[in-house]
Amino acid sequence: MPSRTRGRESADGRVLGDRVPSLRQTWELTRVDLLRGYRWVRQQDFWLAFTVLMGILSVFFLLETYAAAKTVGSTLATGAAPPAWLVMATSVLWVFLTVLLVGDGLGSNGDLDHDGHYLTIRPAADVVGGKLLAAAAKFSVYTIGLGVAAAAGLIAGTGSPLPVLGIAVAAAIIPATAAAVGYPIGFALKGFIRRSKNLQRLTTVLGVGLGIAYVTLSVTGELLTVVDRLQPVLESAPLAWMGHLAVATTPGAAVDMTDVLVLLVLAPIVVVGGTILSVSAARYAWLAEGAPSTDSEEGPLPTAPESQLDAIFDVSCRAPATRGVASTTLRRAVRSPYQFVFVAPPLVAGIVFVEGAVTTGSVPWYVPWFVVWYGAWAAGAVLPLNPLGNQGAVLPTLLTSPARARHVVHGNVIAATIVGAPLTAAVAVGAGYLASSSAPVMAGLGVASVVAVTVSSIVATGLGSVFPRFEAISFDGSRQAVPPSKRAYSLFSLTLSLLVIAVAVVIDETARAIGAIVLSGWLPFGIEIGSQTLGAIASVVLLGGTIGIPIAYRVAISRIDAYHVQ
Amino acid sequence: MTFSNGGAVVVPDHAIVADGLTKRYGDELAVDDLSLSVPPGTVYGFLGPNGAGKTTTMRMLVTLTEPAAGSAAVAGVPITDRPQLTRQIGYLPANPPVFDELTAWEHLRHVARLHGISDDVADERIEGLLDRFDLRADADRRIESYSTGMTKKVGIIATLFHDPDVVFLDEPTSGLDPRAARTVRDTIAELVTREMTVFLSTHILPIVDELADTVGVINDGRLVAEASPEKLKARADESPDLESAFLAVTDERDPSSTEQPKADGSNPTATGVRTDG
Repeated sequence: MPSRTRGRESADGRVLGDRVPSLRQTWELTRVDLLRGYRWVRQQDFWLAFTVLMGILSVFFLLETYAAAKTVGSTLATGAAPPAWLVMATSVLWVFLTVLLVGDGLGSNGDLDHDGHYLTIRPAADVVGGKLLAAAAKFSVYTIGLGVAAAAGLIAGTGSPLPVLGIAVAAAIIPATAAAVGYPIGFALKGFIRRSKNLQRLTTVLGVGLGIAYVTLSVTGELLTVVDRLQPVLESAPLAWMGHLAVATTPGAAVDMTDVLVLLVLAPIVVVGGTILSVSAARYAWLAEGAPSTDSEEGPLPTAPESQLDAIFDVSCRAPATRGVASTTLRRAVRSPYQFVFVAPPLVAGIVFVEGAVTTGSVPWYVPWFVVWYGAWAAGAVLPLNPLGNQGAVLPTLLTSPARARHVVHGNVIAATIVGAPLTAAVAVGAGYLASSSAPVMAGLGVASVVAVTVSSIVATGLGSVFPRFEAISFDGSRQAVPPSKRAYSLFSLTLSLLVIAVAVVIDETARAIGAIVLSGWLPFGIEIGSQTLGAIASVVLLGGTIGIPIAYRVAISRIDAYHVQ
Repeated sequence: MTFSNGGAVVVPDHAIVADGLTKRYGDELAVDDLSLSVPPGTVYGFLGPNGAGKTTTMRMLVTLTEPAAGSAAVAGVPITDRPQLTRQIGYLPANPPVFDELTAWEHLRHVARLHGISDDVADERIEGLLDRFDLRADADRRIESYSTGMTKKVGIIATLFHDPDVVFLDEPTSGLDPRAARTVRDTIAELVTREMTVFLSTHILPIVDELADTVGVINDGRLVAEASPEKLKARADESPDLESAFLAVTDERDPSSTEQPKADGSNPTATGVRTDG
């Protein structure tokens, strides 16, 4: 009965193929995924700049890693055991990557139908295999970078090239096992969430809660406490084996080779087992996709929407077109907050200030002025700096409507200031209180916040209308945002920084005195500048800024009114 | 259809008049010396192969793009006068111009505000049009959750609800199911009875055949034929339908065809010179 045998073999093969990815197809899907990722980054100037910036910042970290590894190499060469911190650092790296990969699996990268056509060509198992291998390859950028620095340090410390072997194997095993553990967890969580309406509703709240918890732990220094609490786990098997493996081939290192051998045997089992689990978990998440909600068909027909936002703009905007632009701009920003990513980088400095305020109970004198600068800059950069580009596909509707440029400018400025001004003033005055600023300075901070946010929004519309940008940046799948153009962004940042510094110098005596000292130190040919002279220069800058505001307003009006689509 | 010019109310003879409209993108000539006129209260079907210059022509007529040469007026307003012109027109691009983050009702109210319409008046009109296009039940859902057809409907409503004198519709029925497409066809037919002028660009020839009073065919940037559907169909060699006529007319102008048209249009057959309809 040859045909029956063939049929059974074919059925068995099909069952196996449904559960275990084909190596050849996995490789092909991974290759294409990595190629697409590379080309995507290359075309996205924002992400390219971000990657370059991260690369530059990581150079310092890698140099530290090299120096530390060199010292460890010298110590290990004497027959010492690997230091506890090294083992723990390797374990932390694995945990870090696993957490990131859980998030990756949970996100749209982990959607089986993200590249829908694959599922019509290959079994789900192959798609999962491709996703896992591609994720491991992408996240291995961490282990490769650190591995190269560590290997170079160990070679320098021991004078032998052998450490490369252990480091290379560890650099491959860490992301591979992290993906095999993290992805099925991410898939399974996604399946739970998709099956539970309550969890779906809570997803945003949980995400924000986790983010706040992480930032809180970071700024209060409690993150290290958490790591300390985890120390027994991080320094024990099986996580500690990663660290042992990394230095296993370093000459003289007193490492228990049994641990290393067990890890080398266990790692493929974890990878294969995790992959098979991932296939089931991914299917579980994929098949949880239900039909769209039919709530709207059951309930009463919708009526005209009423919102408090509209009520506020009814009071503050006379022209319907201004009200339309302001409320729509704000509503879109809140519902699709990716635009805020472009103004997030200075918040890194903010974390340092908050950490200092929490631990010492006070902040330096300049922090309130930093808040004013940041509030004004962010309010201007997040929305008004690209008044045309932010319209996206609706730009033709705007340009062919009777709404004029002044409505667009007013709407953008109102949208930015109605949120930005009170928020900036509150935080700046609060920071002024912590900095023990005098009452006049605190009053100045409040006024400066409102004025700075309003002025920055006007200046931003002027610069943004001269240098519009329409190309969106992708964040994750279909989530996109249109950033301001690089020229508008740079010019606006420079202009606003100058203006806020000038205000600080004019209002705050301390700022004036310190500014004079700093400038005298920087200026060439031994030129010195007194605080009074600096105050006068700042006043001139402010005067120029004051004249520039109506000019920026007029420029925005004329550019938007005369704008033509190419 | 009326407009005010220096205090005097003027009724233009033609809703759309274009004279020698030309548009270049670098060295490429997108629209070449295009002239046409559309009487008020009629439907003008604007046909042409992909990349022929239909969208560029429409963009020039709605002031989105500046012509390199030539002039035009819509509802009696020159296309150089955007503030005045935008009060008379509605424009639906091929990609529906909607904000995905808003609900349909919020988006339509936004467009109403851009037209200076108060919320109360706008809501009444929006409600009626949402009902008509069978969108009312989904009006409080964000547009990002809509199908292509539903999104298109929102775009169509946004184009029409301020009651313009002249509407420019670029592929209004693409992506719509037959019922929705029929609603759009009926709506266009009704618009004309209200003396609205419709400039309709589409690849769906039966719609043009059914609705258009005049059909203009653009190919490679030049208007190669302009006639009533019946007269245009009569030019077809194989069978008297619009598709055959379209293929025949555009094939005549195809630069890759063996018979090259003369630049001065002296060969009526080769250049597909206009047949007055």
